[in-house]
Amino acid sequence: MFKVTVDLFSGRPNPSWIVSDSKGDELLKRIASEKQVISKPSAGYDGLGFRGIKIEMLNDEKENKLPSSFTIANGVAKDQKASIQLARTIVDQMAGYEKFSMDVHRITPVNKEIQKIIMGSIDQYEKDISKIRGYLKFKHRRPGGSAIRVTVKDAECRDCKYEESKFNPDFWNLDPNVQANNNCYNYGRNWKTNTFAQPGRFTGQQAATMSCQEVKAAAMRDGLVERCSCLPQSEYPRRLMALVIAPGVDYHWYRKQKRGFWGHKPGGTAARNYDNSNVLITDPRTCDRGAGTWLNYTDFCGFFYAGKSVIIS
Amino acid sequence: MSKTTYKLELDCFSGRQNPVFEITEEDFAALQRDIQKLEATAGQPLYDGLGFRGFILSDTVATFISIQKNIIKIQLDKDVQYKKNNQHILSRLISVAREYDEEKAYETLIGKIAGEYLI
Repeated sequence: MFKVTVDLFSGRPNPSWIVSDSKGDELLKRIASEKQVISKPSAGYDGLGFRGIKIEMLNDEKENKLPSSFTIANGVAKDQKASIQLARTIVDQMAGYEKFSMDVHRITPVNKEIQKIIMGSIDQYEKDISKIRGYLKFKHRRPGGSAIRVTVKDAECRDCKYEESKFNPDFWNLDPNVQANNNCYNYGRNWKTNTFAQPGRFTGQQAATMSCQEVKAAAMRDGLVERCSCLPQSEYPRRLMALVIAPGVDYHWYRKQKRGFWGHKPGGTAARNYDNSNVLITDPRTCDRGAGTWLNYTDFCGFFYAGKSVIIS
Repeated sequence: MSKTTYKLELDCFSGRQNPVFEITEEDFAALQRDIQKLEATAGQPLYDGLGFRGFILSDTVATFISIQKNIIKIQLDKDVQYKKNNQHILSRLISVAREYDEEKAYETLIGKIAGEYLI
């Protein structure tokens, strides 16, 4: 049993009716087998004219494993053509459902006149679908989009590309064991080994001293390359990392994220995107790395790409 | 039943593993006792950025005591308390670290910590 609402009008109530017969059961079975025709309610077109058909289940039995409410033909379903076709089928069947009387029927009845209006609006919607899809793309855009990872051209290196990923500190911070057992190198390479990974450990030779030269060499034995030594697409995803050193004491890594900042994870502490002054890190060369303290990561060693074949342990 | 291990950790590094000393139950208990006698204070976030982040005293099971220059956070299972730190406790911690650093691998580091924490 479900309720159909055609999202069409601006002033008067939308056409709506309740379906509770074998035709309705068949329709749900069909939708369940073509899930690419449905989308979330309110996810799609919201302008004037036809905006989709909303289906709401009226019982709690999760028939056909469909969501409790969804929309057909609102511009965002994976299969637009099939979605519009299905919308026409639903409207085609509306005659006869006026027997389940609803308050809205006093103003927007379930009759042939309304059916004709709806069908006309679906025809217009189909003609305008490219414009509607374009509008939805614009409406849902966010800086950097919603992609987890994007490929970018390296502004510093002609022809080189690498991938920037969405900042996801919870991955490193929510589980105390993950936080404690993964360090800056794990974070920079974006690989949770739970071993407090060390440059060169996998390849059998770690840095003998804490210097740019030694730590850089150890990391390059793991497979990192200097920035502007372009990595091919086969190394996707390719991270941009930065190395700094507290001479004789320790090293630290940063990783470039989407949206123009860098993330890092000081040892077993939380991953974050701000420096020691609580300022968002836009450049690891100039961020606060312990300024004014004895444990200051003063030396900037360079930028590196870490591709898929970099193994750390 | 596995033996409880008592540790004193110098929480300072980002890439390298922190220096950790396995200490005796007696040394752990004595420090814990003296820390518990300190004046209670309001909770506040402890410093967790790059650089020296303090000492961590633990039995590696249920008791984790984070000690920074002016504040101590005691976590016993799910119970958390905060204490005002003092120079006496800091001196003791530095002495314990020096005592257990038998090979003097961290002599310079401990010296720097003392320089920062002790007046």
